Amino acid sequence: MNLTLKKFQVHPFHLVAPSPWPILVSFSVMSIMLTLVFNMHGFMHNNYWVVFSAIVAIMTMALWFRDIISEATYLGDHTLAVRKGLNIGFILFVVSELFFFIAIFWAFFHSAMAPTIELGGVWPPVGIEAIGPSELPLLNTILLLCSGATLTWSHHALLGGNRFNTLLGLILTIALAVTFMICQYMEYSNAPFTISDGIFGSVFYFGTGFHGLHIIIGIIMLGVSLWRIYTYQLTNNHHVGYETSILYYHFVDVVWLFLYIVFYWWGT
Amino acid sequence: MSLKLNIQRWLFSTNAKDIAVLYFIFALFSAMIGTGLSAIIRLELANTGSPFLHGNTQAFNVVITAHAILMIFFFVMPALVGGFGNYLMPLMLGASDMAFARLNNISFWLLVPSLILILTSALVEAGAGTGWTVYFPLAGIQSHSGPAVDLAIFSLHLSGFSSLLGAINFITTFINMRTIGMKYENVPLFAWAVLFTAILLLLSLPVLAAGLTMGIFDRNFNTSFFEYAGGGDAVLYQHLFYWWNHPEVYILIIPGFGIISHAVSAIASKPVFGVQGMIYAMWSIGLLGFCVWSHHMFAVGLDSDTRAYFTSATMVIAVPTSIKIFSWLATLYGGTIRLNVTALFALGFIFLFTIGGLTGVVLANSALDIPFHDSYYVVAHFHYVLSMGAVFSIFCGWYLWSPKILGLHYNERLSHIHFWLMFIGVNVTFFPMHFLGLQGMPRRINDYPDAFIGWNQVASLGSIISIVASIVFIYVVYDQLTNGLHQGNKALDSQFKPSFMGTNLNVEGYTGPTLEWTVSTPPSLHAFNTPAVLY
Amino acid sequence: MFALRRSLLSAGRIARPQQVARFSSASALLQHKAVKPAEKLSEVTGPESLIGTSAAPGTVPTDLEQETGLARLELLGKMDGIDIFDLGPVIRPQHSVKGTPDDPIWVPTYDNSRIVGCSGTPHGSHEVQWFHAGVDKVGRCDECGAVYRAYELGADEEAPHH
Repeated sequence: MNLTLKKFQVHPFHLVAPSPWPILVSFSVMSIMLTLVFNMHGFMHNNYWVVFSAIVAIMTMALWFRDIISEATYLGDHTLAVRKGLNIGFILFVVSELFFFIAIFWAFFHSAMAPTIELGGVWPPVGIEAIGPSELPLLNTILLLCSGATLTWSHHALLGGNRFNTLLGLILTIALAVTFMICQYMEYSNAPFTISDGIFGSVFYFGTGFHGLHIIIGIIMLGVSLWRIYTYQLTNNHHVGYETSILYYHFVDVVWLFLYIVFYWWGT
Repeated sequence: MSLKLNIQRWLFSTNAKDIAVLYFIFALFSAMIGTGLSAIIRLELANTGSPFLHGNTQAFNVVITAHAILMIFFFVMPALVGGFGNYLMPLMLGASDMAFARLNNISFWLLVPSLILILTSALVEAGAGTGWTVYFPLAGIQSHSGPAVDLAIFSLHLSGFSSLLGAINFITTFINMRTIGMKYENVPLFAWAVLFTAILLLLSLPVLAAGLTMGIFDRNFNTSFFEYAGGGDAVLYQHLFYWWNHPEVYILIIPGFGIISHAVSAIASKPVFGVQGMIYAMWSIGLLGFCVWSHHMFAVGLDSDTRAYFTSATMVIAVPTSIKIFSWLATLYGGTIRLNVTALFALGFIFLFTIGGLTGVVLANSALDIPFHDSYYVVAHFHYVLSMGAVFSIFCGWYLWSPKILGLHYNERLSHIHFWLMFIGVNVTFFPMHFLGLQGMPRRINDYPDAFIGWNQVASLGSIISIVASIVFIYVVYDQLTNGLHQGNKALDSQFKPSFMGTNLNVEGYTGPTLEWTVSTPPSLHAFNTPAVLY
Repeated sequence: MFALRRSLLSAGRIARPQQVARFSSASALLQHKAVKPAEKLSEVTGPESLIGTSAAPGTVPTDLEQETGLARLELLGKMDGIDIFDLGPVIRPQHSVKGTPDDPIWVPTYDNSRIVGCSGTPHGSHEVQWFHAGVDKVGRCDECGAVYRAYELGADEEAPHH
């Protein structure tokens, strides 16, 4: 037995082969930053370069994740210890995102709890028609809560070996999330205030905007998981990518709940 | 060797030791730029009348901004966390590498664009003359209308992201990859230090990122986070910035604490006194570090009860810090002291960091901070804890571990010269700043009343001595790299292992209280192919 | 500069056949002629027997069907109740309290030495000392004098003194 085991790696961890993606992602992110600055200061006449840099960066990141998927599914490098590490790392990443949103809520409370004289001393400020909690935001909340439920159903179906339900649940989740984004787009287009409308508009659009960005990231992650389940890459027991996507999506869902309560309910 | 192999090894690296070497080179390079900028500052302040920059105040402000950002983000953090952390933490834990090898690489490579952005920011249009704290409204679009501040903010974004990814890596490695039999209480102190640093980074950087992003939006997208006319508040920026900044200063020093623990143990030939106390002290410093951010804001108009709280909370941090100092002294007591250059830097650290800490306790009192805020007393305080705390710990760690890491001896006599020049230089530079602060000289000014000329001249003289010390250090490293194989006669025995280790009964003679001494000299690309076991 | 080359050369001397392919590509692994994937730990002959197959269409794949490589080996071991990364226990000396040169503490290894950390008898009675314990040359703790010796797994299938 030991003679056979001697042919393999003695420790369970993944010694990753050299990879060009980190340095390439890094320089494409630099490109985004530089082109963004030049664009913002009028040195470029259109958005082409910023968009191009962003696309390059995203594609390079996609190639990196593709490598991770190959190493996991096709090369078998993801032993239990490696999977545990990935889960820990992702949880830490979600904690850091949590603190990012905490800062946004900090900015909100700093401004809303003691509104300045320029706002008329009230919150919402004088002249701002805030969006109430019983309007479109309530629908959005219900959409996200339902999508959380369908996602949990899909995950349990995968654990139980039911392919049809897994795919159906995941498709429903993504559909609900996309509907949420469409509703947010409608809200943004029809809102009576813009981001330039003082601190209220700033904090509102900054908060809901970054939240929307995170929902988009969640949709992408779930989409990748959908594709991987469809192409039989995930098993009923080994699906770290799916679990991380689920955690991320639920996290973003919870952030929305806080946004709803604080921005739409308490703040109006 | 072939170009392809070198590109793979150095550009596409997934090996923590190679990435650590990249960090060291990067840190040294940035340190030289930062030192050069500090030279410009001291030349300008050597006399009244703006002798060096000829009245260009904006240029002076850009220089002090760049000096701070380069030293903090591109020298101290890469050297301590990126260099020593990456190299030693996996070794000390007995891990084959870091948990996320490619993430490790992007953490390094993100620093290069970040450096490019900050240097660009200093060079375009009028430059970012905001001070490294980038306060609004001076950093706002009306006061700094060019792209420089945006570039600086993006540079901080990138280096922040680099540190954040690194933090995730370190914490996961610590939790998941300790070697067989190594429980948490057996983990060496430097690994604990890097863990706490990583936790501080993880929880504080996102808030900085959010605050800086709000700044970008204020400057470019017409928001009013920090704009009073729109109902915003510039103090909000300070809250968000200092929520990060205070843990950041602990991020800068806690790895240094870890290094000093190892160094003191090695030079005293004794285990560190009270290891559990040391771990808990670092934990308390980290935790309390999140509760005291407004001690940087005593002068903005906070409520007096608020100031009273922050005063008290800040002074409490002195307790765990002094536990560490006393533990180091207790480690030294009764030991067989080996006074090599590692010892000199470690002892220098303990003494000078204590002085810096004491001036910090003075500043912690909000009543005293009102006259001292933004004066040279503050500058003296943080340079004592940084130039003499963090930087001394970097040199201490270099002299302790570089022979093991490189397999090359350094010239011990030359390194002593480096130490003494550095010690004299930094003290002559920064001690008089206490007097200047007490006399009321504000910071971040390029010209001052004649009454302050005396001590400023002394400080500028000291900075010349420090620069000579830096040049000597460069030569020490150069000599180590080129002649290091053959100058065992110029080195002390302890250069390859702690002096009290080693018997001739062991297989390779590599023994030590921590695992990094057991691997080969220099360590092979992957140590611990068969994991070590703690019985 | 030259020192860094030395460490690369010395890395090359390590002869462990690594499971990880040099480039992240499935083709490198599949260059091993794929035989039927092993379903029991005893059926494993080498990396080529650890390439998983796929699931039947319409079902959710199971680990046993699709796991590959090192993860498959780990799974097969688990099914047999064995942790393949557990090299085996450190064996206490038979007659002495801590090891002596004739009656050492035995440490398993696949190499010809193992790095051992000794914290004394009983555990934790002194500061940990790390050192090498070899198959030929024993390792000795500086603090307590305990003697450790490595025995090679897979050389002969029986561990000493069992």
